[in-house]
Amino acid sequence: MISPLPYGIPPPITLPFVEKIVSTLLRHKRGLMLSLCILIACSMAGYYALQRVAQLDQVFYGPEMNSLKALALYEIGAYSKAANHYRKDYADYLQAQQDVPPYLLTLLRRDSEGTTQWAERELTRDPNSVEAFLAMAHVAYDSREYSKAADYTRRVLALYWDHTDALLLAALIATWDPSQGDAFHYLDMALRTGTAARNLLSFISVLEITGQLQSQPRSERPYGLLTLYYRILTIYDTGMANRVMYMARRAIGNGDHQAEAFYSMGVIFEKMGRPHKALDAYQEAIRANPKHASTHYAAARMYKERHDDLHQYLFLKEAVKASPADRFHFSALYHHLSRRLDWYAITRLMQKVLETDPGNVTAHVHLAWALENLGEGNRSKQVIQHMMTLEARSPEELESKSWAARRVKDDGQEEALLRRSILLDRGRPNPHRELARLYKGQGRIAEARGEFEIVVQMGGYDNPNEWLEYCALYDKVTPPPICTQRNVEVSRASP
Amino acid sequence: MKPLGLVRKLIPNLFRWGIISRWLIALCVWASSIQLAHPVLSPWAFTGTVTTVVVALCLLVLAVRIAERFSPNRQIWMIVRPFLHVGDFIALAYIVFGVGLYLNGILTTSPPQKHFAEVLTATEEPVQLGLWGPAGHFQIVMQDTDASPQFLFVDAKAFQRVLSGQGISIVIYEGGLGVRWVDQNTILPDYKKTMATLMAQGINDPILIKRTITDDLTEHNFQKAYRKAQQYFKVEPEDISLASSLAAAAFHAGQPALGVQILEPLVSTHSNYKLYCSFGALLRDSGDIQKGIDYLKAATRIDPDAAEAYYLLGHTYKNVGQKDESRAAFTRLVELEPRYGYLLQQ
Repeated sequence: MISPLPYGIPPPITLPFVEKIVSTLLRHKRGLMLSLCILIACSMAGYYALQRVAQLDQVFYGPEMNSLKALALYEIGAYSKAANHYRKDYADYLQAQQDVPPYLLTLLRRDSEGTTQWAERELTRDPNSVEAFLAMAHVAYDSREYSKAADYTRRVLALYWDHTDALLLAALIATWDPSQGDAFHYLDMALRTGTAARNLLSFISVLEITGQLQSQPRSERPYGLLTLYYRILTIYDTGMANRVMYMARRAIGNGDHQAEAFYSMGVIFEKMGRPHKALDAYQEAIRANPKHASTHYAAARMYKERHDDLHQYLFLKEAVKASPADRFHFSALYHHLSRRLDWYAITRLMQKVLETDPGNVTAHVHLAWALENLGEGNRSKQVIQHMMTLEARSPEELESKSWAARRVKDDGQEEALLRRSILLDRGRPNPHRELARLYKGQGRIAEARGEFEIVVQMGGYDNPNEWLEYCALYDKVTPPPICTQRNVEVSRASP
Repeated sequence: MKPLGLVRKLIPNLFRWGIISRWLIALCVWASSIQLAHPVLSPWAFTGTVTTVVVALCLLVLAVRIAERFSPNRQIWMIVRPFLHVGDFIALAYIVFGVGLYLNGILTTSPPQKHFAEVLTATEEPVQLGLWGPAGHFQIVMQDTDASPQFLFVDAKAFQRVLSGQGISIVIYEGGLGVRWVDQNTILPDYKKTMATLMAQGINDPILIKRTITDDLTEHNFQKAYRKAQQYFKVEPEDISLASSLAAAAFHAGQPALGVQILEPLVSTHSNYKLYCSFGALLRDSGDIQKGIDYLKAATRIDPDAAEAYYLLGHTYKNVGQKDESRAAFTRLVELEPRYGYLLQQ
């Protein structure tokens, strides 16, 4: 028998009950071992369960925790079936709710007739309604009319070039019908916005397509695409990182879009806090495809985080070289150079961009601003005049054009452009802030107050100087709480 | 005789009971942590692997000794015992090495010195011992010593701070036993070293060259900047902003004629507001006041809504005693920028 104390040392005081417990335990060695094994197994299972709970987003539990069956299906890898359950659970829940967008319910129910009717009504009201085009695209996608669906997404992207939902839908369409575009390109663009699949419908669609692609025979499975779809799922489930790595390794092994696979591995390594592995993966991605602009951008981001703006600049430059007309990349380089007040370099850069894409509003606005700072006021005005004739392709570009309209003192045009920007994306405070400034300047106090209150509600002001001038507009009317509350804070802060 | 007998039996008993193995693990982890407290510049890349192997060996020896206690008197223990002693010996040697590093670190007497290095590679350790072991190692080339690469094992915090390709600054201590060690909290990315590394790699990017020129100008190193600028202007002859900065630096370096010489060809080909302002101010400060005024007036014609030229013009007129012209320039300036109202009250 093993002594209760090590090395055969006799216990200093003999406690009878301790001795009894120890001797009982030692008498039932098998029971003891079994209990220990069960305890260890339960602890491990409990730890795993807790870890999974922490990894999963609330969306997986469904409305009021009603989607546990769907969650179970998701956990065993039956993604398509899980998506169907989520679709049903959320539709049932939202039906009883108020203030739910009507198209969301009909799309969740796959009610193509109801959705089409709503979209047509919406389009008669606003012929450029992004929601209506997207709803129509979803209907066409659900009925597998990919060409029609792609046509609708193209219309959205013509109005709003980096609309995440449209990009994601375009990727889903291109996955089934590669003649409608490059799914990798669309997914890359959607993922870099950082807001991919942020809405319910996109989440369910991604879950569905992941399940469908995953269920294909191993030899035909598109691991490259699956890597990117799993990356979207990591937005909701951080535990998917391992799946992304697995898919990426398979994709690399199969020679299926290696650059994208290496890039995805780099992104996951970066999120795991392993920067050197991430950089190695990015370098592999660049070797596989030197034109993969997002990889250059990611490497630039890593160097920026380490206060190395020289390497950051070199990688941003490579990103622009790889994709010269991409607003995302040349704007990143523009911001980098403008922080160093290198306006001359910006003019050279924008001139090169405009050689590739002469109708690019963003490049025009950057060029105009750089020329003005260089002292080339007349050339800047010419660029602004030309920019006014170009078609804006995003709310930001509409705001840029409104800035140009202000420079040429065309208030009417400025207001119209800001209104169009709001219609395209109602979630952005910038156009409201600009409208408040415009109305205040024109003496339209009530409208200025209205816009100001919207910006406050959206949290669109960062420092008191930005909002205090509007608080002065509330002469005989109660101002919003920000005016009184923050004033107190400001006065406390000042000596 | 009895105490002697106890001592004689103690060591084998300590081994038999596994106490030595447990202590060995603890001491090996400590010796490993010494590498982080006083990391030395090593010519070998395998220190981290050695740590991992030694700690793994200690764990294996411990497992075998515990198994021996539960099931003694087996033939197998007789066979493995010599190997266990070898394992223990390796661990002890590693601990002695750790003690050496510790003494090297704490017996430092000479003052620390700042050095610069280039990070060639950064490699994660295959197995990491949490906070007590190195997270990875950098392969670096020191700037001021021989060019042979050296390895530096660091903790997770320092390892996250720097990427390969970067230039770094580090503070190095002369160890008590003659082995140099690094304070890893001082491992920081260094802009100048990174720039020098990139330039040495032959990266001939005009924007980077321009940055070296502006850096030299900031450090009042005009001659160096001018030499580089002559090369730069061959590629980018129309960079008015750099030419203006260079001309201003030439003036401050006591070479106003050179400043004028730099800007003159650009002024004749570019109708640029800021260029005219710079050139006008430079001519004025070089003594050619009338010509300076002409250029400043020309600047106001290029952009009548910009304030800078009126400011310069107002002061130039004031200094030469033309009060009416000065007042007219300041009046226009205040119309454009009311914050300059005080100039009219003077």
